[in-house]
Parts: sequence; structure tokens; C-alpha cells
Amino acid sequence: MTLPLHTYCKTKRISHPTICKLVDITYSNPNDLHEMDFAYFTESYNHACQYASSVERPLVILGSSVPDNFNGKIAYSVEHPERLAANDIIKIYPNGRINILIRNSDPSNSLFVTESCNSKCIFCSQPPRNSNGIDINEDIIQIIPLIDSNLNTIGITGGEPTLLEDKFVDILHNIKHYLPNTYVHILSNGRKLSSRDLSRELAEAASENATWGIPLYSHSKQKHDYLVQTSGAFIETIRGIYNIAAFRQKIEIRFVLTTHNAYYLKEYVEFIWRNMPFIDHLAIMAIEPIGYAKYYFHKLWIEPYTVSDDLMRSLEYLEQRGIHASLYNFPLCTIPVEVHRFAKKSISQWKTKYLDTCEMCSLKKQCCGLFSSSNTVTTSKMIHALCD
Amino acid sequence: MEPNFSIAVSTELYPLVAMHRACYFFIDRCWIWISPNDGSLVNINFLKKDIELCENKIKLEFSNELIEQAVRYQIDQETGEIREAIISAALKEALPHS
Amino acid sequence: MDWALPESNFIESDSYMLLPFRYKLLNTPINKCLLVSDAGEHFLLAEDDFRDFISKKLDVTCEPYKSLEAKNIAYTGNDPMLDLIATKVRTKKAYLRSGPSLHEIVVTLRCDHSCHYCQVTRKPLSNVDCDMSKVTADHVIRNILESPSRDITVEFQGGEPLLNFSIIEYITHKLDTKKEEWGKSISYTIVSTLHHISTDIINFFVKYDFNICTSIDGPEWLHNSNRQCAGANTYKKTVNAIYRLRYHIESRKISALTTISKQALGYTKEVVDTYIELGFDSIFLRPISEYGFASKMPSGKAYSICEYLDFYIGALNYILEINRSGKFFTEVYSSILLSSILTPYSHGYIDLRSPCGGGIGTIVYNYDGGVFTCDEARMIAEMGNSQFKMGHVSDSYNNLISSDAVYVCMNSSITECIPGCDECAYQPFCGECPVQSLVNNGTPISNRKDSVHCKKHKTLFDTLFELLYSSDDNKQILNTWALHQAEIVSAHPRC
Repeated sequence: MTLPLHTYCKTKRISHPTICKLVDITYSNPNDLHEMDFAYFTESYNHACQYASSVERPLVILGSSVPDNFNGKIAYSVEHPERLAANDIIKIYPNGRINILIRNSDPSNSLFVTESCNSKCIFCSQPPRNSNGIDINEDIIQIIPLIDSNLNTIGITGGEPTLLEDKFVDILHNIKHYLPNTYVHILSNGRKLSSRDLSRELAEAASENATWGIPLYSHSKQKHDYLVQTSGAFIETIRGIYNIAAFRQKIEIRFVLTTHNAYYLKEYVEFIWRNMPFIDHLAIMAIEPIGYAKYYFHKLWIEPYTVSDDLMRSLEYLEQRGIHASLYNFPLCTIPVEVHRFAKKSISQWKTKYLDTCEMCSLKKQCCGLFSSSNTVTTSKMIHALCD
Repeated sequence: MEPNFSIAVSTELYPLVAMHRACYFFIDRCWIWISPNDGSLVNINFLKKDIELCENKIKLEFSNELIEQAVRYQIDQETGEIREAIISAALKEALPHS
Repeated sequence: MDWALPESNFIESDSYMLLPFRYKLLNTPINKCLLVSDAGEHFLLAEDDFRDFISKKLDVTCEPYKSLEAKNIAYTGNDPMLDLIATKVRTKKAYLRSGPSLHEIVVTLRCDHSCHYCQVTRKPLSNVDCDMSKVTADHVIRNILESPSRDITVEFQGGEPLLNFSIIEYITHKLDTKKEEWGKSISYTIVSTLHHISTDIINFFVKYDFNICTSIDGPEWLHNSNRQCAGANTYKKTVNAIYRLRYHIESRKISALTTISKQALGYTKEVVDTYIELGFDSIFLRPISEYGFASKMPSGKAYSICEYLDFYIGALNYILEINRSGKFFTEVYSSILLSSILTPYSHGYIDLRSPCGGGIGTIVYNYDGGVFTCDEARMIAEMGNSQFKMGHVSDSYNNLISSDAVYVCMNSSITECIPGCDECAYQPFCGECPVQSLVNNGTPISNRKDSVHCKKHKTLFDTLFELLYSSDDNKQILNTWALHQAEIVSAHPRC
């Protein structure tokens, strides 16, 4: 089931975008709550009335009735109440739009810290909008202290987080402070990590539970630079990887399978083994067909079965050498059964879809499915139901 | 001391280092010494350790070995300093992490 | 709008520069040029392509060039990534960082066997003055604890070490008590005929998690012929001891090695089959050494290096056949070489390092307190040459490690600088012990043309590379050997 990360409501007295955390007052005593930025979330109108007079914080009411003795901010008549839950962190706009920034029940929440990026990957699924200078998502500062410290995993992405330099160091410090037990997964192209100083600062700020997910698309400098559309990217990235590895950060390397690099998987995994045997994980990923990837789909897409043998041998090669490897975004019917054990349910639940033919498939539960953004053109032609 | 045969080699065409290295590969089979000749030529003198050895074979192998060593010398010219830089860097930082 | 620039825009230049590498031509059946980078990465080029490569005519947009660049044998543009290559070279030389990690203790020279190839000047059972004393042992313990390496292996040898079991107990107990205080992690090994094991000794081995190493030269008749002990069936006694130990100790902690005598040369299959029947998953086919009693052998027992290599390669091929039929079984020496060829790490084998591991990788403590750079150094001292004696164990670790013996050892074994080695394609994987050179050639730095060690290893490396590149099956098998030797644990969920 796809659960989008937004909905709509009516608002009263919300004059500017407001970030808040949803706390279900059905189960809590408002006198126990001390933090700012909480919003009360209730299905019971009576409850809301009861507490309306004693609270200062915004109320979010799923129903349409509003307590008339309340003078604070209210969001009500929520269009899709099932999309909200306790401990979610939302941003309410004056026009009634609600963005769900952190969905507590979702295993893969991400903090987008900036839209700016210093690379231009030819298959980027979230191309940066044109902007002067480097923007920072100001909401991040407010969000971090609100996140439930029991949250298992949080992703940090963008754009390119390392462009924020000191500000990114601060963000990581904050996360370490408020979420000491949360596993942090940072997506970065690693290029600015070629500065040893920046690497040191970021490594010190990041928690021991942090992993850096860094893309490397080829063993060949010119091929990687082409796919990233930036000269010098390959060398900077390798230096960056070595730098943060020296500061004992965990590293995941990400490889995106395209026609340009699919036929050199064997050379690629050998390169990984000889140059960075210390990595914690390697992810071989299929492209997500939105953004630039959709525009260039015809130039990039390769049916995984055409390199079945190489996929098998490469994954086994890595596994034999103690490097954990995974396949992300490959429906199980498109890859040989010998590598099913590497395939993960990698597509966020809110952007997954299945085809009609998938209903008959015995492996549907384990399969990652398709991107909800894909259409008949940008989907593998090999999708079919598998029988046990 | 009289050699069995000598090969005249031009020091303009072959680096001296390459000549020394080429000679090194034959010292199990022959006694070898280098003596001056006219102008830029030198004589590489061979005295067989085993009388049965074929002179022609040694001459042919030696000619190719000279080329082989000249090529290696050329590669070494281009990469020798880089090798020193790499090894210095590798060992300089080989201090244990505190 | 199509904004993406074509791949040709990202090629820094049409021309490339060479980075340091070594090469050799591999003969039939491969018939290609093997190029090896300073970090031990390798690539095969057809001869024509090699000539093009060094004449700068190779096409930078094509695959052979891209792999050469990925292996740091060439580069385009301005940045040869020297810092990254240095990191890889540093990994290969990681053994230089930790100091001696193998401490061999010769607890006695007494032995009840009279193996014809013995390389120890063994003494009869009555010579108890050839046993290590507690006073000496205390110094040994102190030196081991003072040495800088955190991870240490202590290996008890002899003669027959179990004849002085009380000292083994003493040393092990004391080291184990003090190791935490000194920040050490210690593993213990014993090299023994196992003829003298008892319940107490077995319990002791179990308590301290010992690794056991013994000798099995081949089938019963061969072993008994080589390794004589007052008419006993030495094979049966050793084998029975192995089976007895296996009740208490994991099989993988009990290993055996062969000493290939002249008699064994015609019996490749039988020697290997013996090991398989005895349940081992590896065999170490060692040639006879030239020291100790071995050098006094009648010429009928000696054999040439060519004879050994024929035997060895025959055995290797037979073992590969066994692997192809589904049984995992390795030859240890090849595994050691392969672990350096096929992984980013060094094999760390003391005798094959540049510089050699004498003193800085291993220290040998003789029963009388003499300290040596390696076992060979101790043996030549018994024969009158103390050139590689570091000193006496009553001296401090610092004085011992700064002795002339260690200095000469290191200085004579830096293959990056030795003629014949410096340009050899196998240099990153090889090394020669200067003590061996001294005995064979009269000088610590041998002339590589005459060196038996060089001939042996060139042949071994040639053979291994031919096997690696001639068939996918062999490549797969040899890779599993290398990874097993390097103790790389598979990421498979079942492992």
C-alpha cells in the first residue's frame, strides 16, 4: 500500500509554516509534556475541548469539529487521517497542506538537508533545482530534537550534504546528541571528503552508528566521471572514501546498473576488493525512473537478465571475500534465482507498486516491487509471476 | 685474459646501465668483462664457463637481452622517481594510530 | 533537453603516463606478458599490446587501458593518485608496523627420533643440560612481553618439546597470567612428534587453546623409513596421537607437514592420499633443508631442486584434481603465495618478506638463552657461525632488536634494491632469507642467478600464474585457497 507523505486540512490561526510533533493526548497527560512544538492529535472532540483551555500548543484534530473556547492554532478536517500517526513530525502550511517529514512507523525516513549538489549524475532521480549558492533546509534544526529517540534508522540526504560543511557537522552533532541509539545512513558523493580536515570533523561529529553511502559507478575514471558528468569526480570520491575510512566510519558503496557499466561488473568488483576491501556493504542498484533517469531512460536502461552471469559471479565474488552485497530495486523475476538472497525490499513503502501479474506471484511478499513512478516504458519487460 | 668472443656495443645506442644488466643475466654461463673500444663503442667480452656452450646462441640471446634491458631502463626512467615517492609515502605514514 | 556531455568529454587526454610496474613474459600455454604493480595487482597483455603500451600507443578509451589504469599501472591527466597507491603499498607492508609477532622457543634439543634429514643438532635423551631452565624461561617471558606487537604467537619447538613439558607449562601459564596487564593477545602452538602426549598434556592443550603441528611424511612405510625411533612404528604412534587429540581439540587446530625426502619423489599421489585418508584438509610439502644433520647426509639422500619442483608441480596438479571433484584440500605453501597474489594483503610469511622477517617478524629463543633472528640462524650457530645471533635473552628487548644481526638481516633482504629481484615481476610477493643465502652462497645477498631459492620461487610463481589464467576452474579453486589462507571469512549468512 502506498502511503503518500502529505495530506490537506483546514487551518485556523496558522499564519506561517509550523513544524510540530504529533502526540496523542488520548493517552497522555498534557502536564507531562514539556517540549515546545508539540501538537495535540485527537479523534475525540470532547477530549480536545477538555484540554483546549489549558494548552498553548497547536491542535491537530482529525474530525471537523473545533472547540470554540480555544484561541490557539488549529488544523482540522484532515483529508486523509490514515496518513497521520502519533510521533510523526509534520509541517502544517497556512494553506492547509500538511507534509509528513518523519513518519515514525516507516523504517526509511530521510532528512533532506539541502537541494544543492556538486555533481550531475546522468540518472539523478532528484535533480537539484537551479539555485544560487548553497541552500540549507532550515527545518532540519527544528526537526531533530523532535524525532522519537527510539527511531531505528534515519537517512540524511539531499542534494549533497557535505556542501554544507560546518553546518553539516552541526547537524551530525545534533543527531548524535538527540538520537544516540539511531542508526544514521548518510548519502553523499564523498567528493568533498577528499579534504582530510572536513572528513575528520564529520567523522568526529557522526555517531558510531553512522554509515556513509557513497556511489562509485565504475572501475574506470573516465566512465565514472561521465556518469557523474563531472571531471575529477572519480579521484575525489576515492580520496574521500579513504579519508573517512581512516577515521573509522562505516562505508557502503553504491553502484547503479546501466548499459554503460553493466558489462564491466567483474572488473568493478575486483577493483572494490583490491582498493577498498574494508567497506561494510556494496549495493548494486537499478535506476529509479524519475528525474534525469526518466529523461535518459533509453540511454541507461539494461535488462538485468542480459548480465545474469556477471551479476551472479560478481555477487559471489564479493561474498566470498567477506563483503556484504545487496541488490536494490530489482524485482525478483528479473534476476536469476541464485542471487535472490542478495535482493532486498529496497523501495520505500510509500513509493512501491505492483503490477496485476504480480498478484499471482509466490514471491510477492519478499519482492521489492516496482517504483510507483514507473510506467510501461520505464518498466522491465521481464516482469512475470514466479511459482514455487 | 682472452675472451672466446666479444660483442661491440655503442654507448650512444644503448644505456650503460642496460649493458650491465644484460651482462648480469649471463654470468652463470660466462665470465664477462667490459673493455673500451674506439669512440663510443665498448667491447663486451665473453669467456664460456662450459666449452660446450654454443657461441651463436649466446650472441643472439645477448642481443635481445640488451634490447629487453634498454626497454626496462626506459620504463625505469619514467617511473623510478614515482616509485620512490610512493614507497616514502607508504612508510612515512606507517606509524601506529595513537 | 539533452544536456549530458558524451563520454569523450571526460577523457583527460589521449596520452598516458606509466606508473611503476614490473613484468615478465609468461610462456606457453599463456603466451602473454604479465604486468605487476607495486601493490601486487596484475594484468595480462598480449605481446603486441604490451609493445603498444610501453610505446604509448594503447587507446585510452579501450578496455585493456582502463584496467591498467584501475590497477595503477598507467594514468591520464595530472593526478597519478600516488597517495592512494601508497595506501595500498602500505597495506602490503603492514607487517612492518607491529614488530615480532612469532616467538619460537626451543625448549630442548633432546629428541628420541633420528630422522635422517633433521635440521636440528639434536641431542640424546640423557642430555638434560640441553633443556631450557626456569631462569632462561623467565627472561624469555620478559622479552616476549616487552616486544611491541599486541598479537603474538608463541611456538614451542625442539628437539622434541614434550620432553621438557614442565617448562612449556611454566612459560604458558606465566604468559597467560600476565598477558592482559601487558595488553597482549597470545596464541600458542607446539611442533611435536606427539609421541609423548598424555591425558595431562591433552588437558593442558585444551586449556590454553593450543594449535598442534606434527610431521607426517607420507604413507606408513615412507614415514617410518624417514623418521626412525628405536624400531618403533613412528607413523602409527603419531597417527594414534592425532586421533586421540581430535576427541578433545577441533580438527582445524591440528595440522601436519611433510618433509619430502628423496624416497618420496616417486610417490606424489600416495603422499597426498595419506593426508586425505587421515582427515586433513591441507598439506605442506616442504623440501629437505640443508642444515643440521641434513647437510651431513650421504649423497644418496640428497636431490636437486628440479627433482623437487617436478614432484611439487605433480602434487599440485593432483591436488587441483581433488578439488575439482568437490573436496576442498589445499597445499599450504601455494596458499601462502596465492594469498599475497590474490588479496590486497601480504601473506606475512617470515621468509618471503622484503625486508625479511628475521628479528623484526620472528625471534627464536634457544634452550641456552641464545636469541636468534630465525631458526636457520640458530642452526648455523650450532655449526659455528654466530653471525645472526642477536644476543642473550638476559639482555633487554631493545638491545636485542637493535643488534647487528637484525640490521644485517634487514639490510640484506630489501628486494626492492637487490639486482635480479628489483625488476622481477614476482618481487611484491617474494623475498629471500639472508641466512639461507649465507649458507648456500657464502654471502647474505645471493646472486639471484645462482640462487636455488630464486629458481624454486620463479618456477612456483610461473606455475601458479599459469594455473590462474589457463582455466576458470583452477582460478576459482586457487582463489578459495588464498582466501582461506588469509582467513577471509565469507559474508554468506551460513558462514
